[in-house]
Amino acid sequence: MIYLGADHRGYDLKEKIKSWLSDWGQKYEDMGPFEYDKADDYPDYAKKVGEKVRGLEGAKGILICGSGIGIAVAANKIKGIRAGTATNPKQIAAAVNDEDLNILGIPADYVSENEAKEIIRSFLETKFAREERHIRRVGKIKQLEDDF
Amino acid sequence: MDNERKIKKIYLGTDHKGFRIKERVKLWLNDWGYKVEDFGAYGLNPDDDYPDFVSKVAEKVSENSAETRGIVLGATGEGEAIVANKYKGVRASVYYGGPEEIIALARDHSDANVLSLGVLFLDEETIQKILKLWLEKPFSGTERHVRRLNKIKEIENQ
Repeated sequence: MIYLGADHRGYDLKEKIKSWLSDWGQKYEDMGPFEYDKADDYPDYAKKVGEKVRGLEGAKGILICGSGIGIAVAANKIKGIRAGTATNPKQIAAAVNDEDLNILGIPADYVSENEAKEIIRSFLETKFAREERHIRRVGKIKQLEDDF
Repeated sequence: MDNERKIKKIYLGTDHKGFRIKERVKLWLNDWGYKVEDFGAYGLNPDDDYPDFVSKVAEKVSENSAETRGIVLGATGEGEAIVANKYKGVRASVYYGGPEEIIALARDHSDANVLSLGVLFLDEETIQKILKLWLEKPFSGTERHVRRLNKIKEIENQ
């Protein structure tokens, strides 16, 4: 299951992403916003998506705002979430491979539709490498969260 | 606004992937007059783990998130930013190439106090340029950005 969220700057792209996910046969749930509101705030949607993703084994999230920066900061504040923003497919593949990223941030102002599509495809198709050193490092992130 | 005076200290941390560049960054920061504390790695060890170094940087920045900064390095910078963002008061953004505007926005909109560099994708000249930009760009302080950062603080406090 893929959970989607955005702010007003990512709203249009979110709507397009839904059609791509449908075409690819991917189940998704849109956590909003459900209409364009230029005064909305990205942390509200980062929180909704983050809480859903951490609550379901194997779930992933896609968050879209203008720069992709704030929304990844906000999502990473949630226990169990490993969020990263990407502007190219190779970069996100490396991050999923190494860090088992479960939320992808997309900077709507800095990627074209085609680029966004390829980044999402890469995010969904790449698997966590499960090599010992990566498991150990992700384990240390989880330990930090438990210690807080 | 003299940003150099406002940054009381910069903390550095990296694993083996960013070690060499971190040593260069330290020299540049010292040349530019910043006070720096290096939390390692202190040598090249291919088995070291970035969370061990980044957590130390983030913990210090968290203690004084308004007046200190962190610079962390890794292959992509993503894992490092994840670790840093787990700490209260830390707002870490990643840079691994692309428009420099992203750096300005990280400061202007998000008041990013940790910068995570993806060294796989960056050369020294670029790193030096964006470091200067990042250190010198102030937070805008506009109402909507402050409101959003307060919402991030609410998530932290849950």
